[in-house]
Amino acid sequence: MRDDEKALVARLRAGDETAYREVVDAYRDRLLTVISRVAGAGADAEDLAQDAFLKAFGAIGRFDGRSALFTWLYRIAINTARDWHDHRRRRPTVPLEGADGPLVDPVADDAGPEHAAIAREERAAVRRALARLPEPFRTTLVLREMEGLAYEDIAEALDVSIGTVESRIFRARCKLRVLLEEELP
Amino acid sequence: MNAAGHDGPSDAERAEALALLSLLRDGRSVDAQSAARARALAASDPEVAAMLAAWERQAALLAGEPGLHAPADFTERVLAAARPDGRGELLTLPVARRLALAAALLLAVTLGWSLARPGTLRADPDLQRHRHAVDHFRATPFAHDDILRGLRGRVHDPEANLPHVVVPTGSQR
Repeated sequence: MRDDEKALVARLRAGDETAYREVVDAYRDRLLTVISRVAGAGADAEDLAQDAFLKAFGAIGRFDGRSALFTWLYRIAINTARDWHDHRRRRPTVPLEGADGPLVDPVADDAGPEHAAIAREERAAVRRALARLPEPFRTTLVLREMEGLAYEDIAEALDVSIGTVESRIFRARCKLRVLLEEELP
Repeated sequence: MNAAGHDGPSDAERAEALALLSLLRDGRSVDAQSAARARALAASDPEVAAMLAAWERQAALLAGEPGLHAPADFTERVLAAARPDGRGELLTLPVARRLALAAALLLAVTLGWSLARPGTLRADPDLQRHRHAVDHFRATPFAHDDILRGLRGRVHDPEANLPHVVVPTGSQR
């Protein structure tokens, strides 16, 4: 852990509200994004992100500093999103993974309407395919391909070994190819 | 010819090569000989090449997914939720401060309860033994003096069935 991060953690432990503000401002977009991707469509990512921050604040005394603060926050956010996802799976009255729903409004494409339509369809297809990718492959692939995390950080965030991360990413890529071909013939 | 007697690599050989290529794609270290074998297979085998092309395509699609942006008031909402009543201190008090707060609350409640009991009761050791009964009667419509008189009489009455009270005898008085 870097010295500036150590100082930040010390301020968090001391209950310094400006430190909490710094953490939320620094990580809110990343946590919101990863939660929406792990929990899937239909999740209230803002509520879950808020919940994740509150859990992190409440548990800051137990943060041992062996990992970076953001990796620790990721772990809490991912667990929060997974809990929500698992809870929803146990309650089938809630609509299933709405893969048609975009995570956000797609960015306008300047290359013409036809190209934009194809790009939109591809984006929708990859969302549907990703939504069908079973856990734990989905979260692992999201962290690697969408969040750009290093294998070591993924291992920390998911509390698994590097070898497990390597295996999951490989298998996730192979599975996603099959699913994407089904979605996008 | 592969181990199964067919031309080209076996499925197991392809799978092994692809597992290595997945690592190489992410810049992971693989021993040079294995890496060279996997790359050679990728260059010569259409199935492996197609898989790599598919990985590139899906990675580009995934990476192109835009992220979310929290609304402007998100930070304030989180900080407000961290405060129990929206005004007080954050929920995340350090452990030492939480313990100190809990100890202070406990002390205040104990002292308050003790001081709320009339001094005449606290001063009498026999009545002190029956403080729970006193506390019970204080919640009744009986007057304060009636309770005191009744309890004093009962404590000093040798006929009273109070086995744990040492009733002073005449010679002890």
